[in-house]
Amino acid sequence: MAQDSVFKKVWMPLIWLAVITILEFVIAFTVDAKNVKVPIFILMTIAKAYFIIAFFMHMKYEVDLLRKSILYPFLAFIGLLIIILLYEGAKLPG
Amino acid sequence: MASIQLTEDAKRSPLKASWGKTMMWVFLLTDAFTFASFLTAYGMLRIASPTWADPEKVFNSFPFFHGKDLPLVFVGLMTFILIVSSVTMVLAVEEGFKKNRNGAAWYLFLTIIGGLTFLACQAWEWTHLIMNGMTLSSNPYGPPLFGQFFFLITGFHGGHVTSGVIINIIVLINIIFGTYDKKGSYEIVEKIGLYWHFVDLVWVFVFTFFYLV
Repeated sequence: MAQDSVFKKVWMPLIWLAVITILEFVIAFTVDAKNVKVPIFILMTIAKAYFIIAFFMHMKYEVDLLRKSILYPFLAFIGLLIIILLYEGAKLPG
Repeated sequence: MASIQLTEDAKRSPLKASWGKTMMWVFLLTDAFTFASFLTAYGMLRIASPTWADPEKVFNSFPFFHGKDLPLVFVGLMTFILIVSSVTMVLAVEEGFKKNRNGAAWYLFLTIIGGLTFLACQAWEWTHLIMNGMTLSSNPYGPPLFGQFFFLITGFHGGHVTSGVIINIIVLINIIFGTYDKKGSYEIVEKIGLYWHFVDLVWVFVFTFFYLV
């Protein structure tokens, strides 16, 4: 079992979340090109999700089996949904 | 300090987690499916829609600053409030591991205050948008679909925050009356903590896909 300090478990993720959110605001007001902006925002959102799940929800300290049994079904489902719905959405008549 | 506290049944489980905690994770997985379905449906219809509202023009007001153009400032404040309430919840769970009744009660109380503040902000934002004419059937900023999805998804998220606040209040009352000292375990604080962080996690995605993209 990992023995991390309170700083690593609470304050370090908080600092990362704050920094990423501030950067998101900076990008929202400075970058205009949508096809540059959107992938950056999605990557930043996934980074924020990592800090919340791994540290705040203690997922980093759980055993491998619990991590996989939660994350894999979710990734399979959401991957399927994104591929199908966004592909179909682009084909829909406006 | 142990990062995760194991109860007796957790030590025997292959997942090294108690039943209650495992089931909370399974519940959160199903809840994540619901939110993922909403958000991908939103993405699908947004791609199919020829026009869309500009979030910097929709969300540009702040209480007591009427008529000023302050894009995304208020939602930044809401995000900040929710992240801070998540941090106080982490601290409440840490105090629970130490079986410190006063500490857990204090941080849980702060978390409840944060949740209520967030709900008040959301109520103000909804009232403001409805008074500006954005309802389920009309939207002055763009297609009505934008308002429909906005009210559906932020409403569903707000419902989760509301139930989270109610559960937090019940647990806080139990902590104050010493129920978990008699039981010898504060694991319930960890379970409601998982739920609370999940609500914060959903907000991270709602924030990106409604306010930024």
